[in-house]
Amino acid sequence: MLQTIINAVGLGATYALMAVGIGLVFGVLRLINFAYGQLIMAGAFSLALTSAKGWPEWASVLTCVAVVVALSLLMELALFRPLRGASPATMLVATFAVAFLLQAIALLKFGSLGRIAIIFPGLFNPVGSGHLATVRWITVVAIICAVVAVAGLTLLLARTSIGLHMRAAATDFQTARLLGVRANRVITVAVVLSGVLAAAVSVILVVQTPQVVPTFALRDTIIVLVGVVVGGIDRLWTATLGGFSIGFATSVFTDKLPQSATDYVDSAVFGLVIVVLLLRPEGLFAPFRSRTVERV
Amino acid sequence: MPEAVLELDRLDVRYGGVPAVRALTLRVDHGEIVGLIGPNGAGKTTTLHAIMGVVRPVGGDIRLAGRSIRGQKPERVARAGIALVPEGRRIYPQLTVDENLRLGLAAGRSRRSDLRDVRELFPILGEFGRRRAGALSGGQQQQLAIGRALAARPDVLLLDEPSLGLAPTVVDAVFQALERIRERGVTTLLVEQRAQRTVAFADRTYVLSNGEVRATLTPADADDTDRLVAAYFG
Repeated sequence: MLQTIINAVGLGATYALMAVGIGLVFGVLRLINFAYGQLIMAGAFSLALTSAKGWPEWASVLTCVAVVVALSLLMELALFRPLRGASPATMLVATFAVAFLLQAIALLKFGSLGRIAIIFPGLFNPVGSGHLATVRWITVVAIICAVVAVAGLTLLLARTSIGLHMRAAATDFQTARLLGVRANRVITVAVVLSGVLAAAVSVILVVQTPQVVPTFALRDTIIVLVGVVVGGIDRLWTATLGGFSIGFATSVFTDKLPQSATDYVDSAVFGLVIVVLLLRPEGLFAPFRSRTVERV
Repeated sequence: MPEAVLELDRLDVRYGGVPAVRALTLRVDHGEIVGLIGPNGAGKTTTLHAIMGVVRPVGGDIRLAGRSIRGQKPERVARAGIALVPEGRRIYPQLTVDENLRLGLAAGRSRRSDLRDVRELFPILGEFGRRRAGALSGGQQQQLAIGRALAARPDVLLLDEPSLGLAPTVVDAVFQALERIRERGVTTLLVEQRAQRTVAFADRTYVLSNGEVRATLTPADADDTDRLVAAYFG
C-alpha cells in the first residue's frame, strides 16, 4: 500500500507541475495551451540528442530548459501576441494547430520510433527493497520538484511586485494595464515560468520513459488538461490540485486494478471525471458561493 | 496663459461607424479641476477611455504636457503620468487593501514610501490595510480606488463618476475627499452625472452632449438652474 501511495503522489506531483504550467498561462492569457505537451516533447528530444552526443547531464538539462523556454517564447511572440483579443475558441484552435505542427515536425525529423534518451539512469533504481521495491528515485525527485516549484511560485506571487502584477492581470487585465502594469512583461514571465516547468517535466518523464517519440507526453497532457478543468481552471491552486488528483487517481487505478483490467484505467478515470463535472461543473476544488476569483 | 497639462484637440472617436465623440476640444491646466458632465451616452466615459488608450481615436490629438499620447497603449499612458479612477471603481476585491494600493506603484512613477501620503489622505486605507478590499463598504472602496490612482503620483487624475451608486452621505464623503485632493494641487478631470454639484465644485465644467461640447460653465453658473438645464438638455 505504501508504494502505491508514494507512486501515486509521484505521478500526481508530475501532473501538478504540468497543471501549474498550463494554469499560469491560462491565468494571464485566458488561453488553454493544448501545445503544452509538445513543449515537453521538444524538451525530451533535446535530452535525447544531447545525451546521444555524450554531453554531461547538467548541460543536457540546461539545453532542455533553453529549448523549451525558447519555443514557449516563440509561441508567445509568433502566435499568442498577434492573436491577443481573438476569441478563446480561435486561440484554442491555434494551439491545436501548433501542437500538430510540432508533432509532425518531430515525426519527419525523428520518425515514429523517435530516439532514446539516457539521462540520470540511476534515478530509475528503486529506493529500497521489500515494500519500496517499486518506488524509484525519480518518483522522489518528482515530488521534491513539485513541492519546490509550488512553494517558489507561491512566494513569487505573494511577495514580489511581478507576482502581484500577475495576480492582478489574471483577475482583470484591462484594469491592470490602466494602472501601468506592462502586459507583455507579465505574459512573458508567465510563459517563461511555464516553459521552465515543462522542461522539468521533460526530464522527469524521460527518466521514466527513455523512448522519446513524437507523441511523447501527449496522453499525459490530455489527462492533465482534463484534471485542470475538473479541479477548476479559474484558479491556479485548484487547477494544480486537479492535476495532482487526476495523476494520483490514474496511478492508483493502474496499480490496484488487475493486470487484465489495466486497459480500462482511462475509462475509469474519465468516467469519474464525467461524474465530477456533472456534480461540480465549476470545478471540484472551487470554493462554494465564490463570486470573485483570484486566478493565479 | 496658464500651462496646459492635458489637451484634447478636435478629438474624434467612433464605435464602428457611429460617432461617440466629435471634434472635442478641451484643456486642463496645471492644478485645475475640470468637470465633464452630460446625459448618458454623451461621450464622457468614451473621452476618458480615448485619453487612456482603451479606445483608439479616429481623428484629433491628445497631448500630455505638450506631447502627443494619442493611440498609445493604456500602460504607456499610465506611465506617462495619467491615472484613471474607473467607473465602478474596479478595485481587486480578492486582494488586500495594501496590495491594491501597491498596484498604484505599477506605473513606475512612485515608491512604496509614497503610499504614506495616500494613507494620510485616506486614513481608513491605513487602518484596513490587511483586509480584503472586497470587504470594504462602497465609499471605502471608492477611497481605495482614488488612493490607488494617487499612489502613482500622476500629472493628471481622471475620475469617472466617482459618486455613482453611492448613498448621499457617502457622496458627500467622496466630494470631501476630492476637496482634499484639490488642496494638494492635483490636476483633475472629473466626469460626473451630478451636474449642479460638479459645476459648483470644479474650476470649469464642460457640458457634453452627443459627443460635442455644448457649453462651458463656471462655479458662478451652479445656482443658475435655467442655464444649467438649458446646457444639459439643450
